[in-house]
Amino acid sequence: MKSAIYILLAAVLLAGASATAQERKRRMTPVDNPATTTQAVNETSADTARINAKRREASVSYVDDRGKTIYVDTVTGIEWTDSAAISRVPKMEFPLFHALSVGINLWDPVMRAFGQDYGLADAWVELSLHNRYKPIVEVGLGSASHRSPTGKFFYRSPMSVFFRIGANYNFLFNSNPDYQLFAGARYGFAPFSYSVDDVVVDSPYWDESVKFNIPSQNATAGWFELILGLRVKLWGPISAGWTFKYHQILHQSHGRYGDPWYIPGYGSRKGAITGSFSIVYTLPLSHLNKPKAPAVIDNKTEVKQSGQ
Amino acid sequence: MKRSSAAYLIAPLLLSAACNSAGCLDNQSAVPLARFYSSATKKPITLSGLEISGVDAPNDSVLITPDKPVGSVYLPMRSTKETTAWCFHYTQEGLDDPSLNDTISFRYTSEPFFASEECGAMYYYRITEMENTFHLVDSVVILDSLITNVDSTRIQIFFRTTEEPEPDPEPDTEE
Repeated sequence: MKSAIYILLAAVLLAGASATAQERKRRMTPVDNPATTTQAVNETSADTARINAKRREASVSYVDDRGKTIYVDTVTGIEWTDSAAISRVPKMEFPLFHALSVGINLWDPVMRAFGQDYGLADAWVELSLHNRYKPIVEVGLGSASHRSPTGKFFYRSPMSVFFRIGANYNFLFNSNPDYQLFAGARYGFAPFSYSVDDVVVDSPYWDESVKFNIPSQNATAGWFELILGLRVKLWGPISAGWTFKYHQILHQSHGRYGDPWYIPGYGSRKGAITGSFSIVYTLPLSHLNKPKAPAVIDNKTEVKQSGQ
Repeated sequence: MKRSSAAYLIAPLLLSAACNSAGCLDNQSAVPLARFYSSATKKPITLSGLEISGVDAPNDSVLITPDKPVGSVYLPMRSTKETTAWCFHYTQEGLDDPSLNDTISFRYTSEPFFASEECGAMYYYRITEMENTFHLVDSVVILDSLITNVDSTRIQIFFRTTEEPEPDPEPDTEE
């Protein structure tokens, strides 16, 4: 009798379990009808973040002088701010690999046209990450042929290469990349040689004058630069960039016959402030990034899906 | 290019040119500065009636004339020779005698040196030997044998001077 009761209980439990499993299975089954396709829209219709995201799509934006993003509705012209986004860390509007820029610094050629007797030219390559962080490598050539204003010596530094490495930070990283305001830092290094010829030493009291050459000396120098600059698009992928630099020598080798007056890439020793002017070609790198996931649910897409 | 763009191009050039500094803050040649001291007090002194001239100077030219008191003098080295000698002649009363002249001579090596764009290139001198007579010169001290264009005292010349006796203390009247 007892065994019959146990068998009956087991059968009831098994029947109950299978019924529960079937119920669960029915709930998991997707149902494709107009109610389910609009369900997500209905559930998120009051979501401020999604509403603002859609509104942003119909607006253009700019960053005001306090760094706040102002949106302008393209239909009504009404300006509005996304209150949900104000206290958040600014989102990267541009992809990780945004662009690759190649520039030629025309500062030294222009200054040479104005009478400067040192420097040649340099070129640089800059990788734009999110249009915000911009590691940069610069390579250039420098030389000097300088006769002193008094005519008492002739300083010569043959053409030699120099390098700079560093990064820029674009303050307008979420704005139109055609306009950039940036600060940066560089470390520069140059191996070079120099000589001083036709040195004239006069001794008026002794009524003597001697002329000699100071032998060529090899040297290395390293320096840092702090940079503030701006870049403006001229046309197409071409833009122009201006920078002001504060530079200071970090280390250098001291020659037996005196330190160099000109350091390739650094310039002459007089003055801690200098500048650069570059013509830049920018190559977009957007194709290297993964496609961006849609941020909002589009009603038109929903309708299309429901019609299929 | 618009006019405003041209202005942006030129402005940095002008600003950069305005930030350059110029000028030699040291001497434009390596000349040792000799300063005069009293052998008695070891303090700097000024001497009147002192005439300094270089030995074998052209036309017997005089470096320091005795009409003004001097406390220091730059003694330029001869860049074409390895020695330079200076004659000190005293024109004060009782001392105006060539036999009392003092001579200080330096032997040195010279090496070319480029100081800077502003100060120029020159010879630096390393004094290897020094000789002097002891009529009124008591001693000569070379503070730094390397003579550069840095404007500082390299040679101290101590002259025999009479130390004025200190006045006797006044007798104590409160008795």
